[in-house]
Amino acid sequence: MTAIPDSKAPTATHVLEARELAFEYRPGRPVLRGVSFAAAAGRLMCVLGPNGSGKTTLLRCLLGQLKPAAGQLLLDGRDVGRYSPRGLARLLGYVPQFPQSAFAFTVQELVLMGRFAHTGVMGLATEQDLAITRLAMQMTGCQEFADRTMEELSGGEAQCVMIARALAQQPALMLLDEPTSHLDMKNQLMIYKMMTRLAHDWQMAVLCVSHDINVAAQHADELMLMRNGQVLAHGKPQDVIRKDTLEELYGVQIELIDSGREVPLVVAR
Amino acid sequence: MSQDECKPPDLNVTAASTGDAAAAAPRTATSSSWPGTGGTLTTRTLLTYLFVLAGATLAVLLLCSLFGQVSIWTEGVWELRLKRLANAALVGAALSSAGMALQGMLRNPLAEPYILGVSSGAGIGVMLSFVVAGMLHVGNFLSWLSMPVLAMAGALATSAAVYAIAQRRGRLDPYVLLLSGVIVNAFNGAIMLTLYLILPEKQIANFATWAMGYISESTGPGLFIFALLAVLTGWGGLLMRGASFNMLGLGDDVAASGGVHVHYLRAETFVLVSLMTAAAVALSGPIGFVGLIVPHICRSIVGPDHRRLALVCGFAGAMLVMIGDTICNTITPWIGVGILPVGILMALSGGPFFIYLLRKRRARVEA
Amino acid sequence: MKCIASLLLLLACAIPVVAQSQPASAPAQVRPRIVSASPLLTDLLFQMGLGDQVVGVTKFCLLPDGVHRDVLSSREKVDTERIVGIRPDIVLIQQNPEDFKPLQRLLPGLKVEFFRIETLADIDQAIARIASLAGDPQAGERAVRKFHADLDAVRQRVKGLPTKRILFATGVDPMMIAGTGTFHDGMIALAGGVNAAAGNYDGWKKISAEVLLSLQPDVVVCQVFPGQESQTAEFFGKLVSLPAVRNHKVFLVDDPRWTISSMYSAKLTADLAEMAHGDRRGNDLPAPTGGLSVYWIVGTIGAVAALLLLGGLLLALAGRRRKPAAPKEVAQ
Repeated sequence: MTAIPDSKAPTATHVLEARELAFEYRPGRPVLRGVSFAAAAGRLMCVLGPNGSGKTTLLRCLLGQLKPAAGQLLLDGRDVGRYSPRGLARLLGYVPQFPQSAFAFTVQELVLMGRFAHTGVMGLATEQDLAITRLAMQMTGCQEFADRTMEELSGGEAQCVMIARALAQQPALMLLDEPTSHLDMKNQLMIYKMMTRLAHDWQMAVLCVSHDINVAAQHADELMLMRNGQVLAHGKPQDVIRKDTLEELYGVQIELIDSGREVPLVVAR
Repeated sequence: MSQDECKPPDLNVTAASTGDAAAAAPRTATSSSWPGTGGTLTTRTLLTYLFVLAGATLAVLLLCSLFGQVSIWTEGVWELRLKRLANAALVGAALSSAGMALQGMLRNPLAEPYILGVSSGAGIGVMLSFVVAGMLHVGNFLSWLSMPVLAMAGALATSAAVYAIAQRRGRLDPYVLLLSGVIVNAFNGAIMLTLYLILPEKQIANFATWAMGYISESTGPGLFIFALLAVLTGWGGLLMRGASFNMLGLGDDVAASGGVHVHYLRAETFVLVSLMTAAAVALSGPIGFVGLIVPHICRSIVGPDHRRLALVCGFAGAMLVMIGDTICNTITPWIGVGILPVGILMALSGGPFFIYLLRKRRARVEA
Repeated sequence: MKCIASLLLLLACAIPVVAQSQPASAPAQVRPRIVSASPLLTDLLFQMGLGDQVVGVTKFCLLPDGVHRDVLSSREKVDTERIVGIRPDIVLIQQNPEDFKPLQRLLPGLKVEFFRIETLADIDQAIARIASLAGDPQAGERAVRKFHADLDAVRQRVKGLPTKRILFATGVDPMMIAGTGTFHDGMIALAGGVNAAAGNYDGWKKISAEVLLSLQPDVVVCQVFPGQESQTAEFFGKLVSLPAVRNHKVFLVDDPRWTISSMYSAKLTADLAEMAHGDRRGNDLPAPTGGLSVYWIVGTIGAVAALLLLGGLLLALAGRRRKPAAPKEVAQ
């Protein structure tokens, strides 16, 4: 079932597939080595790892900013590098870590910008564009402050706006870069719940680079742990959250605390 | 409807059933209540802007041509004024839309067309034309190497140099571009000072006059048509890229992920801006402040949408420079200073007005 | 210790040598050696026949054919060291005397003479002063006599002739004109004319083409910058309502001496008189290309403007009155 009317249904089995992806900024210093994974529709996958594990580089490869040194990165069956920016935008929506808006656009206008890849050269909106924008804003709860500018919003609200904007692109895959690193608990929870809804209710593939292992583990359908440019573990949170794995991942003493849920709480000692 | 209750969208939602979406969209409140500045931009709105502003600009052209030092019925005067005002309009449109584009592309409110080194490059071109003319004494033979042609050549050459310095694998980083412009400007300044030593005193005075920025009264038709084409091309190109500029404000990453080819856009903008600014400088010498202030004033009035802004900036710049030039030619001789360069008038009047706008905006934000 | 003492002794011996090398009062046969720091003063010196005494000139001085002199200064910079090396007796300047203080400190006996020359009358005084400084008062008297004679010749030439409105200009786009109180103002008066710029303009002022039209000069003498000859000619050619253009009395000159006031100015004043009153025809100016009559152009612009404004107004009103469409039945 497609998420937003008339969006292109992904044709491949996996929306995103990485095969032995490798990248190095400088020759001889690989940042990504042999990363393989797949992101399927309807699932929220969180990528975790210590600083320098290659998460950001992976993200930039996914966005098409970096050309992999080896391996393949397939979006809907085609190599990422073969897409034009507009074509890529119709498949992939990106939410940055820190929302910024250099110009004083209102929230409504910002979300409408997400339709850029679907509109003509001048970016003039049709009625359908406006309808989709409204839907995206309703999903993320932005319609309450539709005519305020970003400067007037709180961190959580601003992040909702960016998510709405990416949603308006009607992507098959949502890519979020540590979206809650600067938000308080309530907003963090709201965002993760939103991502879960996007994945389950709207059948999108959602890939989120996270920094908080507990929140990610509680909400994600899949976890991927990265260390030194390699995938350390990949699977359901229950299977991946293990003491030895996490100690290897973060290099600290880990204690797992059972809190009555499926996935234990992770505490560093 | 709260987020938790938001159901997955109904598949059957189509354009027809959403009714008149334009009317249903929330009326957004932008920084002013000018008609047409709120709500979503439609083709009709853009066309309205285009028609009204173009009509107004032509009306201003005619109105300004009625003023001057002599009676308008003196033979040849009206044509003279119309030509000069047409030049002024071109210069104003070119500089203000170039300034707008640079401020958008570099996300820097202080950007203005001359940071790319265009005016210093044109200055060198002009000085070279003097040196060449002085050395050759062949006058008419090489008169096509006249001042405006060499000015434009110098401007374009300098832009190319700035681009070559700033680019890396064909990509322009805004910060590096700004720095390159500054460096090249400084370098050009040193070259100009060196040329000062070679030029005879009269030529230096002539150059200083050029550098003050007077709208030319004696451009040949070839130069005018070339400038017209350059400005229209640049302006039209910028208008078409308006939506892309809007997205740039979200950051390069987000803009690229949203479908904007950021590097092409920067390179293309650079070329268009250089072309327009070179044409403007060839017509009038470097006129300052227009490229910096007019985009800010327009942004305060019509909001930050670059599609609207491109139209408004261009026409507003044209009208402002025409009016300024008319004032310079009509009033300043009475004061006894001879004609005042337009650039000085722009700075004297634009500066305080801009400060007023700035304070008004800050007061509102802090309230 | 010994070397330092001997060094000091050597230095002490040098001082009287240096002191002696400055000339005391020059003997009658040895005329003072003169450096000129201004093209105008160089001209005067040579025209007065004192060229032999000139030992240094500026970069921009115009010297008679075949004559060379050391270049010792440019407009901004005085090459103090070279001047000291040449050891002149007198330096004639028109610049700020402060600039020459270092020179005077190095050559205490040096005379630095400042001249302000702005009118023809100033030239008389300048000639007399230069001559006395150079130690040849007769040369001065001869020069002044010749100068006055030349000027009187001009006065005779134009006596009784109707005065013409004459304008002297330089450059183009924008053009500068010589107003009252300038050198050329005096030349024009001598040449039997009245300065067309006399009404509002004092000194040198930049003007626009319109102002030129308002001044209505009968004769225009315009000094063109090299390379701008055709541009200047076209500029004037378009101003058909100017009496000077109608009567073919626009003269484009390129002799740099037109703006260097010196004795040669007498000859130029004579030229000016000829241009104004004689049969000399001005430069041929390109006729303005026929184009559309300005009324057609204005009419077209006005019509287009009106149409655009009307169209815009209609568009704006159409948008305002448009009601939301009734929701249609959803197609299943």
